[in-house]
Amino acid sequence: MLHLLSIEFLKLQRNRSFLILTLLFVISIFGINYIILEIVKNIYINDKITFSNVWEFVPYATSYLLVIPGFIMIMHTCSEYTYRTHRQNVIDGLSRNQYVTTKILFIIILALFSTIATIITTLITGISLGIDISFESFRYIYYFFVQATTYISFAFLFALLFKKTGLTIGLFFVYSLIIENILEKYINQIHIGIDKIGEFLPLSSSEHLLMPDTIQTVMKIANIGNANSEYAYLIMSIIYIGLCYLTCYYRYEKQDL
Amino acid sequence: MNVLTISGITKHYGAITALKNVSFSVPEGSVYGILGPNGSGKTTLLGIVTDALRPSAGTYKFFDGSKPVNEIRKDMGVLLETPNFYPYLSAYQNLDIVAKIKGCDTAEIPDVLKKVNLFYRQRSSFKTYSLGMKQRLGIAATLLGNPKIVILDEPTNGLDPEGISEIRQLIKQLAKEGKTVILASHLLDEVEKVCTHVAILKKGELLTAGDISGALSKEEQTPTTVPKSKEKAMIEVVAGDLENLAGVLKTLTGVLDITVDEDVITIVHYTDELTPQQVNKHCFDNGIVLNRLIAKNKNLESKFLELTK
Repeated sequence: MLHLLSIEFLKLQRNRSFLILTLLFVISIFGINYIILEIVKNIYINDKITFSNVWEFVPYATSYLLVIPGFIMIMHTCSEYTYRTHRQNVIDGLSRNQYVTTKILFIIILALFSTIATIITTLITGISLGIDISFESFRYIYYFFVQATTYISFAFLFALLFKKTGLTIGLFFVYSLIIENILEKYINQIHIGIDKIGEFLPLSSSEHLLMPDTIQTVMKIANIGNANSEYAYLIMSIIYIGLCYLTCYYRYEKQDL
Repeated sequence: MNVLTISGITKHYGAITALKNVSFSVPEGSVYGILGPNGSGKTTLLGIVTDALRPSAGTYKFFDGSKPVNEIRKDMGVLLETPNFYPYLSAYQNLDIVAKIKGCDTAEIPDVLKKVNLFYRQRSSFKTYSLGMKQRLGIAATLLGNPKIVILDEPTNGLDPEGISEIRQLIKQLAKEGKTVILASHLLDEVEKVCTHVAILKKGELLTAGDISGALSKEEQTPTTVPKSKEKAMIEVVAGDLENLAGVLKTLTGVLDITVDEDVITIVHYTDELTPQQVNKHCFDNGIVLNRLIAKNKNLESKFLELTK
């Protein structure tokens, strides 16, 4: 496994777009939370915010930036199609499964990296507010990891299906930002014993998983608040990640490279 | 022992059939040429045996088929169609990736780069390379890990005359080392000079396959009056007035069949007794002075053109 990952990092070592986008992603995580912090500071009186609130808020705000690692994943996968190195790697001796496994390992590393950056940002935010450190509500960090993995994994699936960078980016972002939200609204109206079944669409599941109570209070006005339990979202998200990888393996196994 | 056995491979791309039920086998230590005009399915066939493409029907196996195919590919050097590398990485870094995939020692990289005369540019990124240099790097990559089988698809693409002759030497060298070389090309000259075996494809169909002399005489439709020894020879003649020359040649006893091209007449079939001297004398006696008279071996090119007509 480490051997496969080392090959992946050799490919990216001098890839300027990758390095710059990763750097921008980290800067944006700090940036978006700094902006929110400035707004929140003016609304709340400091002693009302607990560290638990910070563990809820920072991962939620950061999750809006997952478009950047999603973009990195699409760019990286599609560029291999453009350079035809996706086929050269197989010709040189990787099995098709190993090629997909390498990419999945890279997805997990990218999600872990995003999570660690989020943990650091949360700590910095909390400390700068002068609150005593506590790890209550730390589970939102795990949920963030799940959402990051889901989002980047589906970006990878789109890249395998559509191969061309521009087309994939367009389709993936239109799907994740617009189509799935519209679908969610319509499917929610179907009643089959579960409330708001549209919340269990692939990307929505993990979005709802990461939605903290405080945000839900606000969202309920727009009828977007969570209708199901955290565990249900968590289980669905993990099932979707599994299905996504199975589709990726199947697709790459059958495809002409 | 056969290195590669191809059985009944068919490949469809939508409505197009790129390969129709192709079967042949490649013996160990041979230099196997796969010939065919553009679009005849050479690259598709090689793409299938290197797992880049999925056959619609048929199977292939390396050796006795017991080892996983991707493990065998690690012991194979393949240049398929175009050299594919990461443009922003240097030659060295690109070969580093290939070496890691193949699981071979990175210490070999400078040696293979020296073999293709790229060592002096090993630190330059791939995108700065000329077409010929890219091709050389592709060939360098096939040599990594001292592979038992080397598959080269149009290896002399984009190379200068010096490069072409170097590749020819390289292939001969590989054959001498006991490696099996599979070479796809539309350049007949290239195949004729280095190959021991040949398979000819046309529109996805295998026309003939086998060792070079056998494959070439198979399906030969020469009149029985032509003895075996003369089968591969033909005589080219050129004079100022080709029309007149054609008429005169037809009157010469021994000439069985001629072809008239724009600027040359070729005596394709003739009896054993006919010699170039007789042709020359006959023409001169009939008032024609020849500009050129060449007795040529009936080579792969004419056979190829005949088969793919």
